Amino acid sequence: MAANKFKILVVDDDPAICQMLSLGLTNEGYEVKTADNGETALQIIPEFEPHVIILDIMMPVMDGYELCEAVPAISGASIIMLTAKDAPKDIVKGLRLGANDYLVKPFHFEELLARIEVQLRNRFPDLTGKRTIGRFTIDEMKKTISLDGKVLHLSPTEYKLLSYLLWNANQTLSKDKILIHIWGYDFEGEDNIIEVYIRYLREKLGDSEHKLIKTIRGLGYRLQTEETNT
Amino acid sequence: MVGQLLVRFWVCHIIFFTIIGAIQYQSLKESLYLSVEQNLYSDYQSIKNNMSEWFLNSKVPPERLAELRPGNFVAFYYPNSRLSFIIHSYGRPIEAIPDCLHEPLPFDLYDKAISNEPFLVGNTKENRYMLLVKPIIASNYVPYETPDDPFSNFMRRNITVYFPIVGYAVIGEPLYHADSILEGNFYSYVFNALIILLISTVLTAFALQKPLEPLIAISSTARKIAGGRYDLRLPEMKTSSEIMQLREALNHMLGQMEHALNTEREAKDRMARFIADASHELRTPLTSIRGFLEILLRNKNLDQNTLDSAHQTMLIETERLIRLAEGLLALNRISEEEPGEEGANLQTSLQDVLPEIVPLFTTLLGKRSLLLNGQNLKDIDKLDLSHPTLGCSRPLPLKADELKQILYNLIHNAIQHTETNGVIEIITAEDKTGYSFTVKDNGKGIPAEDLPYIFDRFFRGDRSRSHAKSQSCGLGLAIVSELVKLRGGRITVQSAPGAGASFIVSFPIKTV
Repeated sequence: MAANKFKILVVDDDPAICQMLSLGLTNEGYEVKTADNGETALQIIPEFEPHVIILDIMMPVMDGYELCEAVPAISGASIIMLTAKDAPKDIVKGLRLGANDYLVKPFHFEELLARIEVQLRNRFPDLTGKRTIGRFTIDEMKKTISLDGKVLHLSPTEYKLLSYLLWNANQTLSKDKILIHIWGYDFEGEDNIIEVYIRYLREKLGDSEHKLIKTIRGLGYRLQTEETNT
Repeated sequence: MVGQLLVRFWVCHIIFFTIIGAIQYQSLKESLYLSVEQNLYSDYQSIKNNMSEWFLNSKVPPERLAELRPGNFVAFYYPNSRLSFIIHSYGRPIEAIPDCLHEPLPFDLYDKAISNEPFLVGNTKENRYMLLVKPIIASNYVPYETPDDPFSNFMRRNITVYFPIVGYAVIGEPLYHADSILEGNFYSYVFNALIILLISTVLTAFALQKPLEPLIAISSTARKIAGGRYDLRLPEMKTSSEIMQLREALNHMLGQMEHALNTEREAKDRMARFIADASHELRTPLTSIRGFLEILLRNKNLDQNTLDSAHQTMLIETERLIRLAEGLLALNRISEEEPGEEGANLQTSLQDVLPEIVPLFTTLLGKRSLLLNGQNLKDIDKLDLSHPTLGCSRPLPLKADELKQILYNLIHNAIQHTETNGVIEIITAEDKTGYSFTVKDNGKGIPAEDLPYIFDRFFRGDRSRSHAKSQSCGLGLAIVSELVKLRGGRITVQSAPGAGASFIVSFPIKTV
């Protein structure tokens, strides 16, 4: 079962709440890590790759709003804000900044569980960690992607890149976005690293005609799952 | 404002013009009529010698008409008011002769002749005349007497007539000319008056605009202020001293109002922040306690270690809630306490409370040392606190409970912010102006940006750290500050990062 766990990151400066959520969520079968401020959370996210982030607003060093803005660039995780601030303007602010859901303290633990499941179901409808997108199937738990039922042999970076393209299928992703998402803010390598990896992916997908991964000149790349004439 | 002034201005001017006009009209009329009157007299003079001849012959030689002024006429009457004949001068239409002359005259010729004054007849503009009645006396007249002859009637109304009156001459001049001059003059006067009124209205409006500008500026500013711009003030203006005084008075009032508003707003903001903070502080422990309980109910087969740890955390959180409630109650008690007369009579010295306070910290202190003016308080039971070298016998204007709370909170705060080898010192001082004691630690100090907020409720310098280790509820220093202020004292803090912190509580000498 250990490999088949959804991951949740709890970010709260109150150790009692971290302890409580960690105990409760672990017992529900999730893999849980905690961080007591936004900066620690930003360090944990790229390696932990959580599916859901539970976020307090009032924290020292980096507050929940700042973290909320920073997460989408580096992770596809859903954000549930969990805070004592219950004024509508705070809720609106949190949701506008990119939170997927909002829960006011004190809350019912079961309600939190249900809301976490909603977020997970948005990406994995049957909660098995598998999701079919076009001809592809992502298995989030086994970290594999298959094309037309055949498992592709991908390196971890290739897997990350392809799944990022898949989750944003039919959208054009700029090179900057891809670079930050896959290699992080502080990557200092060559720009053409993306082109290199896209070439690897096309080879493995047998996409010599660029029908699956399209190059959008001057903008970036797009993974095509719908049949179009372009 | 300008409109109202203009209306008053109009009313005044219309009254003024009417009076002037009436006077002018009257004097013009009088002078015109006087010249007509003089004409009539001169006509009379020129024909008077011939009148009786004409009258007795009942005819006038045509050349004599030249002696009359053009347009004038003479009508001859017998004493019984019977018209004999009318002569008129050339150059005027004959229809200008008034109708009334053709009938027996409605006035008494004799009276008019005696009064020797011209009078007006006629009622329409075209048919108005000035008449002068003169008796015709025949110098060569020989009276003959017949009983019914009216000419023999020499005596009338007690007036003796020595010469027989053979008839009366009515000399008239039409007033058409004089009246048209008057009328023309009236209309041109009205016209001119209206023109003047119009011009002066425009000029006055301009002239009024200037001195009224400050008032207009004041009202437009007042409207803006009413709209919520409480920071606005009436502008500096070059104007009369009355308006300047008004401006100053209004600005002063606005300043006071803004100050009051700001004070109220600040109090409101502080209260709102306090309530938000308090609810956050209440919700956080409640959240974890409820969460733990729900989780424990969902998972029946947790191992003993996990259960213990959960129970331990719930207990800590419950204690946090209790401390929070106590802190809030303490603050509430302070805000209800009246400083009043009582403050001056309260007397508690450090030596009264230290023996009770110090033992409470034995465990918390650990390896840290607590000093009083250099003397370690570890074995406080063996110390003679009243000894003058310890300097803690000076009474302070506080209740024993209050001093205990102040000391407890300050020492507790110092312990939390020092490492295990920390040194906490209580230092007393006294000079001419007052008495003070300082709680000093050698901890990590307070960042400069936090200093202004250190006494705010629920303020915590480094929240994550204090949460993890401390038992603080964020109200300790706020309670100390409120207590000291309540009893007329002052609390200040001196600190720099890395150089520890000193909390100085001082009371001025008069309250000691």
